Amino acid sequence: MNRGNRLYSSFGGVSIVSRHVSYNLLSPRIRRDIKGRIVPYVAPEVKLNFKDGYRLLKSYVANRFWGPFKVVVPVAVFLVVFQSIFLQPPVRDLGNMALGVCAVVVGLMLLLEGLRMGVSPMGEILGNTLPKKWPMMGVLPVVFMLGLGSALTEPTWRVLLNSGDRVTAEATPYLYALLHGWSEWLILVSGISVGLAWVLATLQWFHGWHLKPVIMSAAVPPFVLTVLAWFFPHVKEVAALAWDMGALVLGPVGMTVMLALGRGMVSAVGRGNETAQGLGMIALAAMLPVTGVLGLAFIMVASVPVSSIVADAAVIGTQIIEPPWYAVTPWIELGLAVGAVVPLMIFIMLLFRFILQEQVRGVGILVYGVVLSIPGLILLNVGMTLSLSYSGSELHSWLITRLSPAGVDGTVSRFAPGVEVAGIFVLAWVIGFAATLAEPGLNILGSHVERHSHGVLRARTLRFPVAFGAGCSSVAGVGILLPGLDPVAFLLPLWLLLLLLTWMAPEGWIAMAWDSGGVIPGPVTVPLMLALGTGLGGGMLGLGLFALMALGSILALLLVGLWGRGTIGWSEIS
Amino acid sequence: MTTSERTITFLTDVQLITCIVQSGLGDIIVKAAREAGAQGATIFFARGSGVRERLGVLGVAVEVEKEVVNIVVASDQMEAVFDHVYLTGQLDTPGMGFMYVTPLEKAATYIPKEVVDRLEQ
Repeated sequence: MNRGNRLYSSFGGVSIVSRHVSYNLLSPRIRRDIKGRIVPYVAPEVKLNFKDGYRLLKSYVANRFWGPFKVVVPVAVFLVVFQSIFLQPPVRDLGNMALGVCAVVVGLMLLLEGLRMGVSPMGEILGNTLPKKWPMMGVLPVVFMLGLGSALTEPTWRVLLNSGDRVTAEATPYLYALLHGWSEWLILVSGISVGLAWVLATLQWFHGWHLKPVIMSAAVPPFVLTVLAWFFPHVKEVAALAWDMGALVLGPVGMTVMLALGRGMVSAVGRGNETAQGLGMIALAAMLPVTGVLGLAFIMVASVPVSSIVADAAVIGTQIIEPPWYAVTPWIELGLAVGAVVPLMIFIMLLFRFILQEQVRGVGILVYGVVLSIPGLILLNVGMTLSLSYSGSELHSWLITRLSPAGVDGTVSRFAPGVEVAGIFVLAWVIGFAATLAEPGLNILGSHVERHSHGVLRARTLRFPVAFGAGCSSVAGVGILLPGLDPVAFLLPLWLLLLLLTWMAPEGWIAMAWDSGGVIPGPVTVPLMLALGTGLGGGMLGLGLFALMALGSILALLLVGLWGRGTIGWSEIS
Repeated sequence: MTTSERTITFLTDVQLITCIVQSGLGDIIVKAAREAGAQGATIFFARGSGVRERLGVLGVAVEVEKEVVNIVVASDQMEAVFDHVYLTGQLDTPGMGFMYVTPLEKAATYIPKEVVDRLEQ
């Protein structure tokens, strides 16, 4: 053994010793059979001692912990500081808030790891196997079911329904109806639209259609229907809901499955045009529901008279519904989280087991991932509720008393109104920016992009412009909601601008930009923005804010793509 | 007709440090190498196997996707860069990565004229 010791000065207070060992001593002896062939060597399992195991796990956890921590904790601190400056009764229940923030950080960590290790590989394996085993006609219904299922089980958009009790049947009858009696229809139409979007996406993956025409033609119907809605006041009241539904209907679990499915199918079919590696289709799953819900609104307006809605509402209004035990925190979060992951995964597992008759290798690790994502979602949602239930509702009532002329309750502010308004704008920007940065869907999209550009486009190249755009558009949203304007009126010109930029931008960037718009309003953004939006929006509920954020991020990313053309052009890479 | 003159300055005494770490940790390696005097690094993405398959349940803690960091260094600074990268990257932890040095015959790149002139005096 060649062995020379050399003592280093120190590294971080630890003295370092070096020694040299021949690798010949460490590599295994290979045995040969009688015919001189090598007997395959099987390496024995490595048994780690406690210290090494601890270090391994420590670095594993630390590498995944600091990402969410660095985003969530500063924004929580900002919220506390903001409230103690502006709100008359400063923040109470700091303990609950801290607990909630911890839950959010750990939840995000678990969810991201679960999506990466379990949900994503399962989607990819399915996408890879399905088209090899079945003809197209068999693949499409399965994909449709997956899309429909992912939309129905997505917990995020349910908050839209929960905010329905602030709507009155007299003022906005059809919005009221969609959020109450007709909510099943709203859900079903959105789900079917997402399913159709997944079918279209599959066709795109198979045929390698160019993304530009697909995205641009899917972007026309929402625009046309919204313009038409301007001539029907009752449809117009639903437009903001329709756009928000589009932005929210695909959550982190759904988009992970879709992205992975696309990646698997593109690699299985291997058509020439693989520019975007399955990207670009999440946007479809956002645009089709807008079209679907607006279509539903037109049908409702044509077939259901206002008087019957108001009459129904009068009946419902007299009943006081006590929420059952399963509809309160934390049981509701638990149910929604399990519902968001388990049925989809069971469906995929059953497909493998009984229909494709395929053995999946490494099932253990897939199950580990799926199992991890469930407590992840639960902790994330419970944490959001916990940290926002106090600060959020106080923020909400503060916004109402300070801003709406009707709600002034006589308390005198310590600040001039201008300062408070400026404060709200800063708040809106920080919430929009930081919440988007923490959004699990955006993280998944970022690592997908990073992986498929072979590291040339870093995840942060995607995440920061998106978050910046979302921050700016949430400021714009506040600016629109404060004077009581209709956000939909601003969505339309923005939409036209996006189409123009899309026409100019390179294909790979379009895919990324539009997808980011489809994923960002997710489980982190939604509760925060809702606290802000409902406070500001009065009768409008702050609806339209999520769509605005999505469009803002698309705009930001398209601009980055056009500006960086040539320097970080995707087209050169693929 | 004049032909323009171009020169290639060859570098000798160069060595290549290659460090393979789990994906996401490449930037830490590059930073450490720069701290120890390396002037640049190239990262590419790869997939690898090794101790992960032998760790049993703990294998989930090791990423399959890797980043390969190539750092070209002068032979005099090789030891310093190597040690600093090893220690900063915690390569003494199971599954964290692998690194090695390759001697290079020669290398060439852009070298500022002043630097070349100063050396030739």
